Amino acid sequence: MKAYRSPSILAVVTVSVSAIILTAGLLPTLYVLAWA
Amino acid sequence: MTMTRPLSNLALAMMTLPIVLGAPLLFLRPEGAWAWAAGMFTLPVMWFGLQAAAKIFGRPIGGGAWQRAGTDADARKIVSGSMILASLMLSISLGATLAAALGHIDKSLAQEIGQRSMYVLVGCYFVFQGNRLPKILSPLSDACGDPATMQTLRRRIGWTWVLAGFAFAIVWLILPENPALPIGIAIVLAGVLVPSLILRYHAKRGTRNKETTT
Repeated sequence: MKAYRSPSILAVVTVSVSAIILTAGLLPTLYVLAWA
Repeated sequence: MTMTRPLSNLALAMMTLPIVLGAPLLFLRPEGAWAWAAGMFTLPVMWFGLQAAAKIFGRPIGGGAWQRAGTDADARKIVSGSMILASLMLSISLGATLAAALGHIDKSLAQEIGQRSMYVLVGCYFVFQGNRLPKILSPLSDACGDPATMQTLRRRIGWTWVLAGFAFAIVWLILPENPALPIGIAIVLAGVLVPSLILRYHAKRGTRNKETTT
């Protein structure tokens, strides 16, 4: 419990990670579509 | 809880789909090799990078403190769900490009399929996150301000995310590109960004009130 003390911080981290993953899907998709 | 493990496994399995669809493109259309490689390897690299970072910081994603907070399963579901949606986006675009390279469909049709499916999946992401929003945020004992008010607010914002996501997906399914883009931006602004800012404002105000009362 050292790094993430508050459960609300945990939720923010989860949502941020999921948004990063979605962006990681979006950007290469746009790159692929530019070459399609 | 029982659904969490299959969902994680599905997310890992889905990461291989862009690789399978992108590999033939490296031979069929080598001029776009960087684009195909980006589509094939971004998600696996990111996934293993996140796992490595989590290990460096001493806890796996969704483990340790998550379990004590009772949010472990939710965290895993959210991360796995995003991974599945991102893999689908890439797979559909690479699949359509492969079909065009093999001469089954037009190039313009491949681009349209890729673009529309990408935006529809973004809409699905908002539906998915909006559905989970009231469930994943902090327990009521940890809420800033009045717990009942905060929970009601989260539930309403979750609803607006779900409705905005549905509307966004439908707009990109049925409208031509020109009106779909501005309408889609307006939907995201009105249905996702503004409610999120409202939640943030209330959370900040609640924290301030809590600090002044203690």
